[in-house]
Amino acid sequence: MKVRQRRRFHSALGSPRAFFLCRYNRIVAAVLEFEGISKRYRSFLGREHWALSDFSLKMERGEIVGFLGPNGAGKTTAIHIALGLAWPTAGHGTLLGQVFGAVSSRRKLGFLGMLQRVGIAQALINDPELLILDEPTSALDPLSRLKVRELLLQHRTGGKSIFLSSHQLSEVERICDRVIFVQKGRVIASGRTQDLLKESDEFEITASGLRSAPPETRNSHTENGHLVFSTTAAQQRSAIEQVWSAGGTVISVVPKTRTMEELFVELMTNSESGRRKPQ
Amino acid sequence: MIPVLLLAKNFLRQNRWLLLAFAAFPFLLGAFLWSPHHAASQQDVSEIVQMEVRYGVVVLAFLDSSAIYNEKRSRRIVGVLSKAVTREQYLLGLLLGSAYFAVTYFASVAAAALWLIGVSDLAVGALSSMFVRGTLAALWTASVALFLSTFVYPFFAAAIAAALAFAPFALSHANTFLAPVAALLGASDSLVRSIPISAGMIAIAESAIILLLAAQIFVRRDVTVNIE
Repeated sequence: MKVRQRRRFHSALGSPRAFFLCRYNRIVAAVLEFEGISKRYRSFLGREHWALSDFSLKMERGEIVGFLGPNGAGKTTAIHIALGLAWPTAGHGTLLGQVFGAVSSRRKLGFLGMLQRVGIAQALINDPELLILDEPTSALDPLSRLKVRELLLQHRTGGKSIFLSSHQLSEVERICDRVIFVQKGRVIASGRTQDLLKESDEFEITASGLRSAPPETRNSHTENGHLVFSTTAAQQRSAIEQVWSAGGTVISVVPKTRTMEELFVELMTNSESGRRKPQ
Repeated sequence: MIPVLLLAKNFLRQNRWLLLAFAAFPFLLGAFLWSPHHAASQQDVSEIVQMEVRYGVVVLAFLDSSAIYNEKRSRRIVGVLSKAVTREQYLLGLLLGSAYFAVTYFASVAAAALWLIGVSDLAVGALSSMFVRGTLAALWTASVALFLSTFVYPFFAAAIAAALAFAPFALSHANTFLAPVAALLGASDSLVRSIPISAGMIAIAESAIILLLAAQIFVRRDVTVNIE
């Protein structure tokens, strides 16, 4: 047990790789970085549970990053490791240019678990470089949630970073620049929010004065007396021309996007089925 | 130092009802002996004080052994240690809170005893000695309990700490280094004026060393449990 603890401690604080990562992140912009972090819990009877497996992510300065995943995905474990409340079994990382657990980095940090509105004001009072929020708005009413959203956006405008773990997907969709999805202790997808939500090459056209949608378009339906249908980027021009030639009027052409909820469900379902396939 | 003082204050605030009950306990017990016409016998008061001092030591062992566990369960520890507070400061805060508790309790024991036997130079001297000896013994036991609770289930930590404090009482001669509590509280009469200085110094030094050892273990422990 002593050997295991020593190894764990060494990997977190003292390895040359962790040292260089820490120096690098002080110079470069990363405010939070996990590199190959794994975390194993052992029950009293010796049963093992891997909360994180080879978990890696990097967060740049001045962005709001959403951290999403189902219950038990390892979100809170990752946050606890970053805060030095738990030690990784393997891997290393830095928080504000310091190895995880360093007190000096926690001075420049705001952290809150489930909170009330006054809590977020407290967290922001010393103008932290990085704000880590674990389920910040789950206990708030809609008006308070709006206030919190405004506070977070203001904080970001001041060049600060926010790491937001939440189940409030609409909230994440509204305020996060980047989103990271985790499941079973691994990052399964990450990217800029707009890019992730954009569906591949699909456009939604709303037209009036038509009885039926042009051929080779999909998902046609009526909304407020207007005909709405989908088409690909390649067929967009011909679809619009067909509307005009049929005597109709094009009201809007918008790139088709998903909601964060749809994306979440899709990613989690795909990840689950992907895991099952090899068996 | 400010975080340590705040942690100690918080420890005391969390245990305020228990402290209030224990501060009232010597007076309630004293009420059975009190008579408006004559002072209680010194022998009776000595026995009661001896019992109360030992209660105090055991209570501190239980309080400190469960402090970290309770903080983990309530998740308050996450809020505290995610701030710029080191694990060493955290443990020192808990021990300082225990010291406040012990000081209040033993002051109350002394005040209740004075109420029973009346104020005299002899009584004040003897009770001052009891106050110092009791506080140091409780501090030593609390530090052992805190140390053990960093890696043992709280109930066992408290039981072992209490056993380490009181088992040497059964021996005819106990080494002061191994059993400072027995050296501090071993006198058959609790109302003696002398303070065993060497035992007191040893108790303080050992408490500091035990606290450092506890910090070395605690800094390597996860303070959260996987409850997702």
